[in-house]
Amino acid sequence: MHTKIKFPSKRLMLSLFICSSLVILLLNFNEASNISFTFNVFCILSGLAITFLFFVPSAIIKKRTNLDFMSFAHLKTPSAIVFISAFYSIYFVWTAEYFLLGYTDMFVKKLNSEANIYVVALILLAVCSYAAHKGLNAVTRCGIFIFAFSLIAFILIFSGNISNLDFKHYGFEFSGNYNNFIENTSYFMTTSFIAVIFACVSVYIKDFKTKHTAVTLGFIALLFIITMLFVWFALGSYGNSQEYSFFTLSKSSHLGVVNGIDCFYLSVSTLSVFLILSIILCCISKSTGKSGSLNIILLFSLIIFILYICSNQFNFVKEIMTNHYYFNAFSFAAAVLVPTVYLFVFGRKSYV
Amino acid sequence: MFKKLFCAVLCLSMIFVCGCTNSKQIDKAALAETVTVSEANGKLIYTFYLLSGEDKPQGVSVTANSFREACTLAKEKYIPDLRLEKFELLVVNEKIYSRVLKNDLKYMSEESFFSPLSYVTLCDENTIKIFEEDKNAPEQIEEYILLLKNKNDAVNINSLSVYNSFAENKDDEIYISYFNSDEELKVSYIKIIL
Repeated sequence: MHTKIKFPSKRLMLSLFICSSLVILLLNFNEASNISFTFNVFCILSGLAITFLFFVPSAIIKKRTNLDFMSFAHLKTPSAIVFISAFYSIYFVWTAEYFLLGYTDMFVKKLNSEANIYVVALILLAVCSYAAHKGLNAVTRCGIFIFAFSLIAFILIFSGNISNLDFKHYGFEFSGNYNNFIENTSYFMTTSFIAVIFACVSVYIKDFKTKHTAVTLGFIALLFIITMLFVWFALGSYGNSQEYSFFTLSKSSHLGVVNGIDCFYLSVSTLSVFLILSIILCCISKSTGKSGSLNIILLFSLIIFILYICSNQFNFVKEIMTNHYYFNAFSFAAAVLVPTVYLFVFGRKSYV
Repeated sequence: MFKKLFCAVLCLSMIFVCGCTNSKQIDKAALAETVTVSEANGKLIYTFYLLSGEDKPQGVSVTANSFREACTLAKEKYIPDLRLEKFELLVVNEKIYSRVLKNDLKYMSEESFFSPLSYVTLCDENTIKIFEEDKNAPEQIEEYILLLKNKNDAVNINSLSVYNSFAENKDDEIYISYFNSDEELKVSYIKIIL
């Protein structure tokens, strides 16, 4: 079922862009009153600059060997691959939990407070398992349509808020302290999970160039900055009263006689979470060395679902799973630390 | 075969587990579009005007200390299926705005079912009475508010802009639309101080 066809690098980057947009769609942290818009832009740029560095080890491996890190590790250390596979599988299960918990929380708070979140998660995982079984090529093809829909939704939400923009009350001064910088930068750094996905599945892409990564991160930064601009100047203090600023932004959009297009926000969030979970399940099956294996995908979907139930039953598990500091540390280990060790141990000469 | 089996299992799971059993059906929901706030014997009265096919406006009055309390009481005692997703207009008697406006807007800003674009206006007592008799009053008022906004950009017309003016205006003075109806419904704007 799973094809080994290589597809263009740009298509994977397009899907990674959609996955990253979830970070801003599920934006759920309260702004401290002393932080300015310019300071937040600085945090966004810092967070994404660090994310770019996370791509470096796997991009080097891809350039030199035309393999991704997982394939490289399979090739160089077949005896130790079980530990590497286990490590990456745990990482991807964590990533799936991080976004699944974020999405269902948003679903309950904004869409239907009486909905059964376990059913929502189960159905979502079932659909994503099927998509992952079809393979990364099919999932990224689907990503093109999700991107097109998301683009229309973003344009409508932003253009519907232009008349709400008010630059009188807030200036462009630069204010914020060290703690704010650490807090916000680490939040925007959560996009670094895309570097781990790249490290795991880049063997399937062709015509990869480093500028593709830079352009993708540039567009992610642009999306985040535009969102911040609108949250800051169109919503103002109102935006801080509620969680999920992007939802409030979609609710305050007005286009002609239509007021509030929050249905677009909910659709884009659902499609993005579908895409990310499908890609993560593809990555898990790839890291176990059995790409597209339905049994592996179903087994890990079940593990994700059980962990999801545990997270909702025990609050401390949920706190750990949704803590972006831990998540970033894990991303650093998966995207930078382990691949760099391989790069140092297996030097340039041993590639050939 | 696998596809059919997968789809069948997915459909069955949706039927049996019923994730949206508790959802309120649109035909049962009582959709409140307008709320007026007035005063009687020193007590605040919140009147919820519901969408209906009747010729006369369907208003349900609740005595409460705030909009939050009024919504809770209305759901508990008077309108169990009350939904505020279609809420469009909050009309406050000019005499009591200092008692209610700030708190009520704070409540509206915290609840996601309220649209940030819901209109907020002040009025005299006669205008409040018009809502009890004329079903088209909310529509008329909204049209007047939009016309006023087109003439004077400084007037705050919706909960988003009024709330932000409360939160950010250092002078504590804001402009808001005002309706009076001594002879006919007239719109103007007044400066309110908090």
